[in-house]
Amino acid sequence: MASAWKKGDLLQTMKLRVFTFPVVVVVVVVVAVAVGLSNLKNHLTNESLSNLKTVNHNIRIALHREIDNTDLSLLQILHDDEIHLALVDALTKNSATPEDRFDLREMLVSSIFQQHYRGFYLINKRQLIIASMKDLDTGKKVPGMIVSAIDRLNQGEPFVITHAFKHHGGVTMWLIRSVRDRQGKIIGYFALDLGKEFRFSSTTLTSGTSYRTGETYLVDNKGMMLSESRFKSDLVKAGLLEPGQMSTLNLKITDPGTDLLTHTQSIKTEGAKPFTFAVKRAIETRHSGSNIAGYRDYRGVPVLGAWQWDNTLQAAIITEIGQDEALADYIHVRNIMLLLLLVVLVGSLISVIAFSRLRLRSEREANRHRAILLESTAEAIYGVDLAGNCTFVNRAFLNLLGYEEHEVIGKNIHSLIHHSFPDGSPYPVEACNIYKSHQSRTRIHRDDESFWCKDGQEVKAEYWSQPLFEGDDVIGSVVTFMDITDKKKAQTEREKLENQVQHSQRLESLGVLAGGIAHDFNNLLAAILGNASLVESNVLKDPLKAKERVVRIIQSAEKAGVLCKQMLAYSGKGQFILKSINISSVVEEMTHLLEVSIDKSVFVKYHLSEQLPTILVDEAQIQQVVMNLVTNANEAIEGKSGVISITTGMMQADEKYIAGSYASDNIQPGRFVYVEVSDTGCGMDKQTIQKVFDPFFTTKVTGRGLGMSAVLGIVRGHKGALKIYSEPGRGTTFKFLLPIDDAVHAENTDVSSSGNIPHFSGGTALVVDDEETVREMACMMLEELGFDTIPAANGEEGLELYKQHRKNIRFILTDLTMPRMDGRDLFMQLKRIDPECHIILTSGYNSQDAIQQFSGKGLAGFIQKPYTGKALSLEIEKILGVER
Amino acid sequence: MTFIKYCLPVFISLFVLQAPVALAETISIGGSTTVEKYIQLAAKAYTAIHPDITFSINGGGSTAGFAESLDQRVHIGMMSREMAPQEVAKSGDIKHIAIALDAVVPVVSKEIYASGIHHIKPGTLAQIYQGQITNWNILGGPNRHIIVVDKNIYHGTREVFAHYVLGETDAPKVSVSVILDSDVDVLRLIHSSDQAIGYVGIGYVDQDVHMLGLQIKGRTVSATHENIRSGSYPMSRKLYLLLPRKIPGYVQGFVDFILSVTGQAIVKQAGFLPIRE
Repeated sequence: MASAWKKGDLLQTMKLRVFTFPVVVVVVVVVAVAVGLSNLKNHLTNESLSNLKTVNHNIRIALHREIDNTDLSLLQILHDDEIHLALVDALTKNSATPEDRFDLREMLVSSIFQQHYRGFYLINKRQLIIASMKDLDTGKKVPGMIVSAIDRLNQGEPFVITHAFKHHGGVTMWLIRSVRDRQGKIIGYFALDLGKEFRFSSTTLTSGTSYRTGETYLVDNKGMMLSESRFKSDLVKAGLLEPGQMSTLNLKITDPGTDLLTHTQSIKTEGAKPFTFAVKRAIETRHSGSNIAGYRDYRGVPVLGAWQWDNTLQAAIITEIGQDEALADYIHVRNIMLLLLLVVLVGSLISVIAFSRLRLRSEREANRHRAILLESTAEAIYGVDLAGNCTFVNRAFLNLLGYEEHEVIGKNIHSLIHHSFPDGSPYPVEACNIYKSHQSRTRIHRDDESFWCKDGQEVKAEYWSQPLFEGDDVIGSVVTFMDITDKKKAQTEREKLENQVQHSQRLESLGVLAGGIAHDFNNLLAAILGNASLVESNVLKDPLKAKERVVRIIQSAEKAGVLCKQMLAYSGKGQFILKSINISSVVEEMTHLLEVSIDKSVFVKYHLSEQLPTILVDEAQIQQVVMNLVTNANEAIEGKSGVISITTGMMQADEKYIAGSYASDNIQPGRFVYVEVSDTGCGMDKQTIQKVFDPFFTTKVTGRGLGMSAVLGIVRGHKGALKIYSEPGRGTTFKFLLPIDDAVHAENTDVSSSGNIPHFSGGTALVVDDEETVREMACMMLEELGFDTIPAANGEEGLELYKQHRKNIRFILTDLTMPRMDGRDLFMQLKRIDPECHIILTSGYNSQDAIQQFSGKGLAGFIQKPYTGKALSLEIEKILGVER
Repeated sequence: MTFIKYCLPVFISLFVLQAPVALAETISIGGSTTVEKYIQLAAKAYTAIHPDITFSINGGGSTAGFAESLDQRVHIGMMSREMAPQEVAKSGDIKHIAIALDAVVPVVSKEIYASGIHHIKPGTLAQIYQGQITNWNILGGPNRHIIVVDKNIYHGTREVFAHYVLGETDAPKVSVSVILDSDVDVLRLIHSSDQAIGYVGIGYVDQDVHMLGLQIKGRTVSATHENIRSGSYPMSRKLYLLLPRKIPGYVQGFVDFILSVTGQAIVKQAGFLPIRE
């Protein structure tokens, strides 16, 4: 449901993430290419524009040069004295005789025709031709074009070049200057008929054709072409010109509306067409301009153009180039770029597909492997979703519980396989531990429940349930379980056996004890009987001796009484009754019992710490342990003379220590009270040590071999640990640890009168003592007072630790006699580091002897061992003051 | 990676395998402007067939044509007259190929022709050119002075004209209004004026040009094709190409073309007569 949807969503986002990168790359590339291409286009267009302008400019200059050259010729003619005279003469007379005319002609003919011009016209102020090459012209009015030219001359222009116009059966242009008299007054005009040779086209069709599609042409203010088109064949094809016809004066530069090269149409269509963009602008503005966006020329072909208006020529000079040609390079590059882009796109698409396919394949492979693994495990695994329905089962599950996959998937798993407790009572799902672990988002591990097969059989199982997280949300659980029926059976049998062993062992030790006691009782009774008989016979004869004897009887009887009491206590309850006891006291009470159980040649030494915290134990059982250990130690000595030492104390046990001991599994490191039983007996080799706790294992002739297993069981039961040290031929030490009773250990510290436990505001104390028990006791007391403690076993260690934790240490409690730097040296060193530090000395010696050597050296305090918690706190109060 | 490796050569080849631009050969031709008129047409036609050949054609006159050919400044020289003796002497191993026939015709302004002057005696021509006749009315034309148009002595046409009309090829004493360089200029003047006379090559004659027939021994001999080829029309000439003995193959190809049927057909277009029938 919800989890499934979330999973799908996750896949989607993953897919998106895979695609995003190449998509981004492609987009970036496209944008870059577009930007680059647009830049290139701009650049090329601008270059084209610059080219057009240059050509346009050059053409204008060339045209002007030609005009100037022509004008030069004209000037030369006009400045020739003879000619000038004749001209003036004719003009003043306002007519010319045929003679005059001929003379004039003769004078002019070389200049004119050698320079390839067509003729001349002498015009009077009334715009009538006075003389020309033909008599026909004489007296005629000048053509209309010339009238405006004359006006311009009158307005002061030095010369005028007319546009092309039809005259005398041909298209020609005139170059006109005014003729002045000696006073400089205009008396007439002289025109040079430039003829066919003088053509704008000679310039425009050579210099103006720098590109394949480029041309320069001139247009008058009516939009009429004044030079020859480069594309006459196109115009003929389009019907705008007759074949062989000149474009000059015959072609109006209009926008045909479409590209005539592709859509030929008759010129007789529609009405007046608008001028092309260039012509329109040139005529309107009489200024230079350009268009690089593209417009249609007179053929309808899209072009880029630059133009200018020439006042001398009274015409627009327009230079155009086909847009295709101008952008040819750009188009070429663009096509390549697009091809490249396509390749990139295709390439990235292919790579993305290949990549995702590869990933898919490897994912599938990984999944397959995983599936194989899951199916191959011996443990049964199943997954359950939030609704409690099964989402997955492996082969082991199906085999173990006898289901088919389809019978399980999707079904509520608790009601299917987890519906009852092992005893058959119903197990509601709300109480189900798996369900609870689900809810509390923790994992659990239990071995006291059962799963139920399809056929109703019970499978005792040990299971682990782990919730499945997706980010922060629980989406289900996975449960792994194993069939522990056999294991459980073995466990119950073992427990039974252990109980049996314990029980038999007790019986056995009782047996030993009984034997021993019986033996001693025998002796005591013998003593009593003996003495009693003697008294009977000698009471009257020797009453004093008889009294002695009776005393001895009483002594023996008392001894017997004690033994009885001990026996009663020993063999009595048997229930696991926990009591807070001081182990040293318990051992002390057992002294008689112990000595009765051992050989006469064996000597028992006691090293019992007085200040020990209490432990919460079953006294009888602990007594049994001590008893067994002592009995074994005795037997190890094998009747020779030897020593059994019994030591009690407190120690700090770390994980490593515990790990190397015989213990129950869940012992946490911490403080433990210990009892050590050592003997100087035959010792055990490694093999023996390994078997020592096995029930019914014994190396002794007597004994049933149950003692040590009982010991182990009892120690385990008290959550303690057991250590063995042994060397063949040298001896053995058994050491068992019991956890201290935190709740009550304060009893041992003397808090007699005042109920208040002094509190200090905390801090750390450094405790230095080479005896572990003493050290641990001191630490415990200080912890009771609210301090943190740092223990050190000798002066060197203490100094090191002081250097490390100086900031937090409020005072130092140190013993005097220690190996490796004693208390005195430590004191000196510490004072060297910090003269203000508080040092409290402890010692077994009395204060006078001990502190004599420290007088005047700034000793903060002294406390004599053994000390109580109260004494310690008082001493500390002296140093730190009372802090409530 | 391998894909890119394959793409690279493909891309490169796209650039490289463009249409190769072949090297062009240029044939340089110089000399008579008369012959030039034909050669221009012939060259154009030839380039259409052989786009790899370009031409550099210049005028300058027959004399220049000979000189340039001698100096090997041109592949082919053009002359519209016979070689003078001194030129023959210098010619060395220059080949002299006639490719067309031309005639020199006298031409007059429209108005003169319209006034009835359609033919002229050679002697009269001589007199005009020597300044002895100065008015058209002497010949029956209008009362107008004659504008006499002569050509530069380097021109072949002039040589032909002078040789026949004036008796010598060099410049005898002439009295002319103007000396022009090309037949085009001559015609321009003739057209512009209403009183001019000149002479041009027959190739320049069109419907606007009014030529005068020659009156020889009472008969008018017009410059018709028959008369020219038959020799009846005295003022004719051969048009020659000058070639060094060793010429590159592509030049020879052009010469062969000129002499081929196609080339000779173009001679007609140019207004001359093919050298053969």
